[in-house]
Amino acid sequence: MIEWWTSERTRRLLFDHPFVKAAALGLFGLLGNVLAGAYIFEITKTVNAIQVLDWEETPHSRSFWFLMVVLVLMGFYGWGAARYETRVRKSLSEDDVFGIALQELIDPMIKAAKKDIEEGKLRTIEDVRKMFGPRNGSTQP
Amino acid sequence: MSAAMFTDHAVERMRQKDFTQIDLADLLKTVERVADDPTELRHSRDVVRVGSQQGEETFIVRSGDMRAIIAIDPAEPEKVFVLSVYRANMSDQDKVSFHSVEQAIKR
Repeated sequence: MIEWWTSERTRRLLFDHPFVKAAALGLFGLLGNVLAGAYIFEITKTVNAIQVLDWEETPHSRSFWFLMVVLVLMGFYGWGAARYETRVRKSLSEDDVFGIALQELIDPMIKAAKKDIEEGKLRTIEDVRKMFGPRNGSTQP
Repeated sequence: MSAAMFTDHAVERMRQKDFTQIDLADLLKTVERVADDPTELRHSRDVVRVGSQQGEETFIVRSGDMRAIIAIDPAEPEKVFVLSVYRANMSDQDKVSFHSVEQAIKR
């Protein structure tokens, strides 16, 4: 169970899937509004035909405690989403991996080339054309 | 306007590999075009920028199946260095190993 909650698939579903994100935040918002209304209703008293809010009734209101639970859950959801976003932003993108792969291929060539350049072992394009031209080249026509 | 300079390594690769004269001539033409006009490095569809280290930039120039790896050094702006030449469908021994890429990513 714990593995399921911490798995990459679950994180992606909870914090990356647009429908799940919209549904979760929408439901939290709706539930919060309903509970806030119920809480106000529960602490409202009628004294001499006048409705007043009796704030001291707050600890006795079930809706108040449900509202607190919803707020805490929303906080956890936001914290999880923020952590997920940060991790995604810091992780290597496909382009990064591709760049590293290419650099890995090219680094030995650059080292070899630097040695050639330092030793002056360079040829101009005309030299190369002469070497690999139609009459002098060792390559196939 | 820069001059394309071929390293010994690149020349050896051209000598060892089974490239046709037509392929090489086309590649040399593309390399020359890129060296003549440095804006080609940024805007040509035949040039892909691969990486940059301390101002030195590396590019792959393509001409058909042929590829040339070229580098520019800000210390020598009048030169474009051709580091290596290969064909796109290179043999297994030329390919970068998955292990080495994995190691590089971990570093």
